[in-house]
Amino acid sequence: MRIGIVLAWLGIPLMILTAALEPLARWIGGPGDAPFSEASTVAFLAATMTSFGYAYAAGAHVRLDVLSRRFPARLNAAIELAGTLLILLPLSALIVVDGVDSTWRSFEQGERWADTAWALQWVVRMWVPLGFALLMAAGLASALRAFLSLSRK
Amino acid sequence: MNLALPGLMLLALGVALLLGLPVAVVLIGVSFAFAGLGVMTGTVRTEEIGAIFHRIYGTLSDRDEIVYPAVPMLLFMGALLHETGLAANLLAGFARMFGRLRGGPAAATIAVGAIQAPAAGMIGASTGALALYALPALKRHGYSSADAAGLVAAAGSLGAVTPPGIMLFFVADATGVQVPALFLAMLAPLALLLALYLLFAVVRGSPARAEPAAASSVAGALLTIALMVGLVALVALGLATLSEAAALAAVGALLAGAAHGSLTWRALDAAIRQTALLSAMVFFIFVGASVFSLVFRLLGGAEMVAAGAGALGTGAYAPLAAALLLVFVLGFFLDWLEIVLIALPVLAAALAATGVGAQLGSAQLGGCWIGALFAIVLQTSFLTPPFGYALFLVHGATRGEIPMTQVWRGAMPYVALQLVVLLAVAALPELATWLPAQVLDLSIPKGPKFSD
Repeated sequence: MRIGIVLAWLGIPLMILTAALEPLARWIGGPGDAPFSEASTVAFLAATMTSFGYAYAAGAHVRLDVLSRRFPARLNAAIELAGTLLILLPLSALIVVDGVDSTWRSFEQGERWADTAWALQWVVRMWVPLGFALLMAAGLASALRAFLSLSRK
Repeated sequence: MNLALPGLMLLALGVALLLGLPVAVVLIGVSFAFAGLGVMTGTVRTEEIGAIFHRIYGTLSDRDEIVYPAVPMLLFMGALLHETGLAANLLAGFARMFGRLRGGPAAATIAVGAIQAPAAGMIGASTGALALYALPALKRHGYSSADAAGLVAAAGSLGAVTPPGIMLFFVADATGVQVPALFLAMLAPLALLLALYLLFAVVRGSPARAEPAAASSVAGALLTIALMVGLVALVALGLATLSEAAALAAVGALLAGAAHGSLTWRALDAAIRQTALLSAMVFFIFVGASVFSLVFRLLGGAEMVAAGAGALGTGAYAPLAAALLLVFVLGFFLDWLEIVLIALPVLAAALAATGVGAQLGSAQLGGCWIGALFAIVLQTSFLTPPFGYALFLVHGATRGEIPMTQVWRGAMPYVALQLVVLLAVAALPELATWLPAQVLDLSIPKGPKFSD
């Protein structure tokens, strides 16, 4: 949760700043807007991917609670536990593994950015596994909470 | 034949959503389960599963879809305007400008709804906020509880149809139009809607005289309007992309907050946290929905939709009416996020399969028309008794002080006005298509989407 807030403080202002400089750079001329546009893409991806876990920990994700509102608390805790263990954690783990792999390959092959041709595409790719790793951490915490409330009589 | 699997997949999604787990988690879980089933039954090749990973990465980083960074930046602008008190200032400013006129306080509420709601992005947030500062003011001016509540619900829901609203981004995505085109398409229907709302406010008249507001609030209000108009103008004139314009508007909101003297660290921190939470909410479902639609297509969902489109009827209007009615009913039970991100792409594909909108000459223009209709129907749905959730928000914001039945009564006239606009746009597609066709070059279809 702390990490999420810190990363949001880094990512969101950076995204706004670079995206705001983009048209200014183009209107003025000079070096052009490509570096700014790519930096703002990275900042957007970083801010968004890392926010998933933060929002999960804060309980901000949209749920359809028409029925579950009326479920007993223990049933909701059991659903939460099963959903986290059976869906969230294994699938996030798959995405993390695949994402690390794709980031590493991108780094090794020196994959380039489309506009500036800097070999930094891996900086873009790494936020997907990182974001889902944070989401796993948040998921683990909520599973633990659900487990504790279940084991309590 | 294989039509069973995509059908089952939709059914499984419907049932699993009711468990109360986060919608995005359910979407991804159902997708993987059915991708597995697809591999087992031989409908999906194992290599195609790899596309799922690519999709998660590609949905957000796709360089051709550079409109998405605009979403958190607009959310940030809205949150900041709210946290620095500029949004509340807006109401006071308008009340000063219109307060002396017949129907003035109502007109001020409508104007604020139209202007701040798109920035606040989420209908829930904007209606709640509007209820907090407009309801007491309206009642002070002698409006009845029912009239005031209906007015606030209607004004708060305007964010659904006003550019640069967040919902319109995803409606444009679903109907296959450029976001700026849909923004322009909404302007004429919105003007008609506002004219009807204002006319109604004037006819109803104001029960009492307004008290004057401080002069500084007028300046603050004008500043906020300038931000919104400037943003849309930059994009329409082709001077900046949507993301760039949104970033400039966000910087503008920061400067406005500083000039207003209310830009504190606390306000900034709250705005950043809200931005992170709201954009996580939107994009987590967006990622989940795009994985879902990928697997749905791999299983032959497109064929099922094409087959189902026949069942919607034939001709230009029957399928459209059926789709709009479905969206209207869904709006009672689901958030706009689920409707726009999950149901709308399927319905838009079905409409395209039956050739609705083709009479307008280009896919983009057809998409503008259909997108505008969808947006108006969704907004109407939020406002329609007994389930419309803008009504619950107003009821909730008063902590139950205004009974639900009174909120319903107050909202009814606005629902009637909504229907007038909906029928007008349906009968005269030019209301939606004329402006974007004048300003933008829409003869070229939007490039193949990443998801295709």
